[in-house]
Amino acid sequence: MTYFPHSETDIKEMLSVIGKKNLEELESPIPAKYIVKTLNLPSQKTELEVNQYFDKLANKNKNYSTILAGAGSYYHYIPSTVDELTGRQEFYTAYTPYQAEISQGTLQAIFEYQTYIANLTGMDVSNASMYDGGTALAEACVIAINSTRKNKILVDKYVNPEYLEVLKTYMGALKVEIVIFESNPFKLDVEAFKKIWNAEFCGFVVASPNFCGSVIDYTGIVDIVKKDKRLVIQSVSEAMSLSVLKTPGDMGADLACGEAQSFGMPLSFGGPYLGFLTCKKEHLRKMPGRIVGQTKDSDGNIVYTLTLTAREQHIRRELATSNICSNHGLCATRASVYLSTVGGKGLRTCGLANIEKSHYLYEEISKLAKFKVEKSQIFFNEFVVSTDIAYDKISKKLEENGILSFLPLAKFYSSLSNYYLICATEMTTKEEIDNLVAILGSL
Amino acid sequence: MKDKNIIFEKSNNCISSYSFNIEKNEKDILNNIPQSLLNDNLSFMPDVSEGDVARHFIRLSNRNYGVDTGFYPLGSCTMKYNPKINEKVAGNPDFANIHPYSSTERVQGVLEVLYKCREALVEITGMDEIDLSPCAGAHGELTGLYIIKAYFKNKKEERPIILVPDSAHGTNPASASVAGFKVVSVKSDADGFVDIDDLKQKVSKDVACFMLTNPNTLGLYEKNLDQIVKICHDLDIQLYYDGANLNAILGISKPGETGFDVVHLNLHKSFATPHGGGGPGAGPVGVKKHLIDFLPGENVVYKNNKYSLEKRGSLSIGKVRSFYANFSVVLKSYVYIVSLGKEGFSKLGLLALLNANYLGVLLKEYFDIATKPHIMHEFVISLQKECDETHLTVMDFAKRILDYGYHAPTVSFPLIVHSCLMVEPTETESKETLDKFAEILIKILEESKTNPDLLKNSPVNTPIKRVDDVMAARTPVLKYSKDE
Repeated sequence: MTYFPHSETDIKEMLSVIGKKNLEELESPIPAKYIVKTLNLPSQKTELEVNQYFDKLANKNKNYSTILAGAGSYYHYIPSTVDELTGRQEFYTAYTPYQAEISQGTLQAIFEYQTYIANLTGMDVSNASMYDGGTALAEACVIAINSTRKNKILVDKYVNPEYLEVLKTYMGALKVEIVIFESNPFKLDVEAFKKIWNAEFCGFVVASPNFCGSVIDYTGIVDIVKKDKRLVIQSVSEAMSLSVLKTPGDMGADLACGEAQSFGMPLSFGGPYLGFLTCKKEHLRKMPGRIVGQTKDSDGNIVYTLTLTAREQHIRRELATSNICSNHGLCATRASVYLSTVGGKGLRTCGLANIEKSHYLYEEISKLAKFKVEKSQIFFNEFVVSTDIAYDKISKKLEENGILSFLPLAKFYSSLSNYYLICATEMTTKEEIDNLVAILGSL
Repeated sequence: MKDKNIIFEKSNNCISSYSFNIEKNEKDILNNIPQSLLNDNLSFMPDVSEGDVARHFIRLSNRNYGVDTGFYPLGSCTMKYNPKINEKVAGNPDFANIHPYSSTERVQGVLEVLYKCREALVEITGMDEIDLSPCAGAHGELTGLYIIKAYFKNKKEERPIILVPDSAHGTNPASASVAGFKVVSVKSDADGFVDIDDLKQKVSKDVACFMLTNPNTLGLYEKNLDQIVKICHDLDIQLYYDGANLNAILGISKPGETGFDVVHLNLHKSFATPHGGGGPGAGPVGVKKHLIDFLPGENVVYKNNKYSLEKRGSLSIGKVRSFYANFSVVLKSYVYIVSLGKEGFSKLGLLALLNANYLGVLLKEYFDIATKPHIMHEFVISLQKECDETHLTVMDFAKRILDYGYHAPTVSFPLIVHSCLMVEPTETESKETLDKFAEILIKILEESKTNPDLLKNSPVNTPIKRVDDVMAARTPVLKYSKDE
């Protein structure tokens, strides 16, 4: 299956207009020694063959019947409107909206996305999206470094470890030192924080909910950081939690960043997801990436356009606030459709369903003799369980039953061997929970 | 100023609000979390019936222009047709609903796609290894530069400088900066090729890398590439291939065989995955043998009839993103590769060259084509003379193009040509489309002389009139607010 619209006659006519005898003459600027005869690839396939080939590949995946795992990738319901409306070619086959007069669809959808995300995070400004939660955190830290001119950053230990690895890569190249705040997975210890904090740090990165699922009250450190004119950055790996939790802005953060995959993106083996980054207005000029603003057209209609581009790579080149060009725009549009569809009541009840189901699961597990939950943990939809039963035994049993759950935290934290991460969302049914608990009880 | 057509203004507390089932009441559920950690409400969120949400976004889509709407000759953006089968396969729930922490046994199909796509890209680029993790072209550049940085660090060499031609995309110097390098610009000669004398002056053992786009942004294949490679490699300067313009040589020549050490690809350009109004794309990075150890994150391997992800060794630069890759984008590009096969790839690049050259010839009697002497897959039109004579701007020309139902070419880039339009037709456009587009450009040129106001007041046939960008930047309104 190819997609070339030319007829043989067209090709001949076009060649004669150009004054070439054959197509190969067009290669002439490339030295002959570098011309490839044919690529060593399989032969062309018909659309039907392609379809059959990929059906077969898809069938090699054996999906779980129950997903009780999150850890940065959350299984949520995607309303029917999301695929249907963002599946419009006018959205998905468009380029970055450089020509505003024929791109109002993308631009307004992104403006609405900015409004949703800025409000959900309690901030003044959102950009038009980042790649994912990890790169959004790295870009947030760049803002903190550039606005304080300090080359050290304090990061809570329980920030999503995938994000932390990305941050290490980005900061390493900029010779920025990352200091890990050896905190508690369930609670921020203000006294311990005071001991490690000083004004040499450009800021503090706190995750809430953190990787263990704990909602963290960090209000006690905000004044300490702000007194030194440094920045508090909240990383949010589960945007769905914003449906009920106090906004990062109200908690006292200067910047919020994270992952909004939960607003309409399928799990898709980890990508593409939707990084978000929002800030208080004093940091606007340091924001990376595209931003859509409202303006007027020459008839006086309210319209939208890419704005404040003097921050960006195509204008400022090496002095730009970031190198980001293509972002995850269609994912932002999906989030707009998602949030518009569910609206305030839908988002609220979705959040409540997450709390209700995960807390039911937590209660049921707490009744099992061989499993322990953390009594003090405050969480949204994800929590920690410990047990002395060997991981192999648990995972074998769960695999047999088609359940993805019990992510071993030992993989990320040596101090948390025998600790596991479990998640329930609005997708989870009571039967699934009872089934898991029965299986655990039989171990 | 309030936009009556924004979703937030359409909220009417309709009786059909979307909801999810909960068993207990809200207050009891929220008792699980201390009041001080809860928000008050989501009153800013709209409540609109599903039918009205559908109409809202269909209205927006009607105010947008996609590749299926019409010709999209954006230079260096490779806006080719995005095959529907790609979307269909990626939508298969057996690919879409997979959690990244699934057990290896359950994701053999996913891993086989990643492995085979990587193998195909190795063959197409002539590199020794490909990593699929970067999310976009600029992210691929950054990853490539991290790799180069790690390579020199491992050799205990300090190389703080990256060379970038003055014709390069803005992402090149920006990526170099984010990767912690200093940027030095290399001049172009009168034709737009790399100025070899300037390059010779700027190379040294302080230079880590020379980033090249080939063909460059003028649409020229570097005539002195062998010499450039030698100048750089004599000093172990790594040669970087910016894949933005790969479409020109796709299936014709391999960057890995012409001397490049690092390559990034834009799957959303050359490999036909949709651009989504800004992304998501994917920017895989290819390297030669000496750089494999520095690749990021994890590697897909095939051992004992089983695919798996393996963490790379201690020299790896580490992760550049969460999880493994923009999987669905990689999948779509792999569907495209399987569809075209070797026969399709043997024609793809040639037809991209044919279309650009043909359109260039149709226009060259009328316009100053800055791309000389050999057009590859795109070319640059200079409107400097026309602008000087008519007091119009290149933007006036671009906006008038919209009036005729086309997307405009890239405007005012590359920076080395004043008042320019950069045109890239791609191989999926027909002769008829190119003929009509040429006619329209020539007609607009005529209009610029006889009735310049037509251009100045354009566009008039678009959903909205000319946008005031100055106002947008002077008084930024970046979100909707009920109070204003």
